[in-house]
Amino acid sequence: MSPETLAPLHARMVLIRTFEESVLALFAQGELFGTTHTCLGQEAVAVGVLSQVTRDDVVFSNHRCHGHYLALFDDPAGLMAELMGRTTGLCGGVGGSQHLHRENFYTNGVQGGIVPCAAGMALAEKFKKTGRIAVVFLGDGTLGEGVVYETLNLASLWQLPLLFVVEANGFAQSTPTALQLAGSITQRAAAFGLRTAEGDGNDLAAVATLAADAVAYVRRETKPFWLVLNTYRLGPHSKGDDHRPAEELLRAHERDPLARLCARVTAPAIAAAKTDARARIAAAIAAARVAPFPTAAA
Amino acid sequence: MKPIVVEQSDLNSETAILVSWSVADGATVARGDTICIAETTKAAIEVPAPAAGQIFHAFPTGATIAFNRPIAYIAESAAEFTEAELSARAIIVTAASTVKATSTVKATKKARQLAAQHGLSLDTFFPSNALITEADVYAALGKTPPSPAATTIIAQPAPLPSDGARVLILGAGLGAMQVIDILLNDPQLKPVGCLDDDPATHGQSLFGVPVWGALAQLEALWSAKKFTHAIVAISTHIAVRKTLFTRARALGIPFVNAIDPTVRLNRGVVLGTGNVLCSQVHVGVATVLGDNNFISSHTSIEHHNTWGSHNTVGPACATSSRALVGDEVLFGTGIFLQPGVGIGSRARIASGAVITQSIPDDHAVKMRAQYQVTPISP
Amino acid sequence: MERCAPVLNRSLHALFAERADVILLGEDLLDPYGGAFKVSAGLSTKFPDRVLTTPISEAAIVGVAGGLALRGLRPIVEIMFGDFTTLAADQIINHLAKFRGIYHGQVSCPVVIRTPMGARRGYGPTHSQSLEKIFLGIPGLTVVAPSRHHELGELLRRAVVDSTDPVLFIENKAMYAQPHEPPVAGRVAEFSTRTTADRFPTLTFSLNDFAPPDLTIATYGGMTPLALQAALELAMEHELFAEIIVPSQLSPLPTAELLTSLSASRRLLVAEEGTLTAGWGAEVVARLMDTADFPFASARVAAANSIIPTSRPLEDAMLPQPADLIAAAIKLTSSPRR
Repeated sequence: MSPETLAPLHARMVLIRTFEESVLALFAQGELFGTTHTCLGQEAVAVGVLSQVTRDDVVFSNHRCHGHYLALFDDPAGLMAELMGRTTGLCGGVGGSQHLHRENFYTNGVQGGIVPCAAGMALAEKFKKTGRIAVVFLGDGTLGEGVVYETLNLASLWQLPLLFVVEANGFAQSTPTALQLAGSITQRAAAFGLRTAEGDGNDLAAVATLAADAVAYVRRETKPFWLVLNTYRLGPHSKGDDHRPAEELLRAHERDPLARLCARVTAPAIAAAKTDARARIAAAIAAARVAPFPTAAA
Repeated sequence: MKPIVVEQSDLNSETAILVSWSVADGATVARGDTICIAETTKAAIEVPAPAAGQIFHAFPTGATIAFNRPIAYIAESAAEFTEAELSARAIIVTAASTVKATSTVKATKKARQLAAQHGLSLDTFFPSNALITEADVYAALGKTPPSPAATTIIAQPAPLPSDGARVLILGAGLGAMQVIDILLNDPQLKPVGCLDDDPATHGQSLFGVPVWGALAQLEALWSAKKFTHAIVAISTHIAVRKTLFTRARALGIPFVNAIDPTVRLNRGVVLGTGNVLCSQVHVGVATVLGDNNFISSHTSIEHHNTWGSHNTVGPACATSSRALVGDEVLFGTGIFLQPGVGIGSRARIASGAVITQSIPDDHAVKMRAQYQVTPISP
Repeated sequence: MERCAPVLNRSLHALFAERADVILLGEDLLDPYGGAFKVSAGLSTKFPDRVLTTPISEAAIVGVAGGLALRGLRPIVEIMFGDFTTLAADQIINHLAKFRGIYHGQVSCPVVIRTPMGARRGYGPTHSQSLEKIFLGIPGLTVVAPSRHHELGELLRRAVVDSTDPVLFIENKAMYAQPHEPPVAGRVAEFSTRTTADRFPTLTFSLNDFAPPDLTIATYGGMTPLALQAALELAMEHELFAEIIVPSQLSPLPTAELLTSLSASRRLLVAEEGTLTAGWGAEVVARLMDTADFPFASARVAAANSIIPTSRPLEDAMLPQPADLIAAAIKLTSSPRR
């Protein structure tokens, strides 16, 4: 990956990291209520995969969706206002952290259920012959849901232009993968006749390369693809629910996708990206704070 | 004569339900006409006539039929049937036609019975297809139905306001407590205040209902729209009871009936207004009560009685059927009336009396004690 | 007289011919089978690209329909038996019914889920239920359950073309083989009828030309013929005149016709084929209690709290019958009108 390509992607990862850290801080300060699911440590998946699709393609994400949204739209102000329940949020404050929609991007908060919806979207694009594809993000925890396998069968049977991206972050909420998942993640899809690939989800360049191939295949062949990206959730599942041993987290930080880019991005560029992200997010929070809450009558 | 069978089209099913006949028993059909619809667990089958001719059903609608067995016969005429076939078929088809009998509606059972009693032919008098009721037959006979529509109970003769009545209680003594207790059970009747000439009651409240003052205030409070309806709660003094009722009615004040929820009113009961019916009172079929009567608990006024107004009845009295009671009669406690007796106006009946003959106007019935009360010797 | 299943089938054919964005998904839809109850017969032959026969995956196919609808198509899903809607409940409740609301009105999700419910066919405990009550009161979901006296084809057409949210369209199984008999000039057999102008209309039946009734019967779907039969017997044998109110939309519940009738009768009898507890009838009674500015008495007739036995005598005993309605109506009318 050339430095010119890498720099904006790195900057976007920094924006996502800074956004998610700010979200947790706002919860700690009592400025946010409800719940949220941050993607700390998984920024390379969001940015790497979504750098390979167009704004015309359909993307369906899940409860852990902030990174996907920011990777596609670079809009911390709209997302922050949505999280803070303001009218200026991208769904008027109604949807909140887990229920986002803009253009061809959709998210929902129930595990697994979004997968057939994404398949229906792929089917719609195939039916309308638009050449667009659909991308659905799911986690390794979601592989416990039966509807995922119903959809794998349908997607293969009907040759849907659907890219499944499995963010294997090592946990189903608090339960380590070893305690909740049997067998192979890739062979699950292979058994349904899908082409699959697996790679390091913390290596931005590797993610981008794998995603480029997968997207090209889905678009060219009008067939589904199962892309497994191994990553690690550095933050809590939601908030205040992290009981992992300190030494495990320490080891994980050595694999931090942002840290791994340090050698390839100049120190001034890193500093500039951080400064820019902090400024934009501070502005987003300030704007949301003064924006009106929606009224029930509407 | 040829049998008609349903061919097995669905290997999952052993039998089918005969959902409906498309042609009547005995009807003439052309070849290929649908004669019936049968349904298996997974499909509905339209059964065609195999030839032209007359169709004779072998099963009623709703029957479970076996595949490849006759469900009907087709013939050039009924004469082709053997005696045995005809009698077997007759049993089945009769059973089916009884099910269908109610669907050819013309007149209700009551209308048919009444018409038959008077030798009236419904077909002649009612050529249209409208449903004929008992009332229509009475009209055709030029008669008026006996008593108001026998199934209707008139408990409140005038409609109440949609937001309920605000009721003034005339009297604030023991009777008022009974009346308020009854009204508090009825969300449509809200007791708002009492009037009484006993100054000791003024400013008091009965179950939360204030005593506003003396009865002299009636006119002023009515003009000020402090209440919408009234009721007299005095049971002991019939003359006062009647005077208050008459005075309020002269002002145009509407009254309500206070009916405890445990009261049982049978069909055809008609109540006037201003009546108080305490707990467990029973009023039998087609009995008519006038206005301003006070009926204490556990009293049973049997069917087809006719009562006037301003009567007061103590607890646990019982009339038999067809009693005729005038106005302003005072009944004590535990009185029995034999069937058909009349009680004249202003009569006074002592507690414990058993009335076996009619009592004229302005007469009293007194009781001589038949028992002695003596101390028990050790 | 045409039966109800072919009427629905004709409506589907007309919809497919009229609009290129209508797609049908479901199990065993292809000709010559044409769907378990033949309502989809002929469509796969005429419109092969738009009829998708599916694996036995109720959740996935409803989810796929949601995705199709969000991307501008008008999918219809056939669930073979209403009992299987539980398998798709997450999709219906947490996805299809939610999308328009959670995305702040930026999308619409016009999916029609057609499914047969109801017993009286001996299909036994898991193929005979009336489970629609599970789906009542879900914001964003319209539940429609027409009777054989509603304009079935038109109702189905409106569900498909006039909706911005999902519609659960319940077709009573027994109704399929019964004649389709909508009102003609305001009459159905002995009854005068009135039809509201709603998208999914409510029918009112009267045997005495809408003179004030002795009681109001509320019912829907497959219970309708039984309620009409009971009303006929109440009038003929007892001179008790019922007004029968038959909404085709169960949820959200339209109450105008019910209130009008009840304000005159002051007695409400609700009849449904599902089990009693927390049923449609409970909602009808409670909603009218909340909105009526007059008192009234009520009674509910429903199925016994039991599985639906396969054996016919046991099924008959478990389900509400006209005799149950008649007994309840006589009891209700034996007390003074409130």
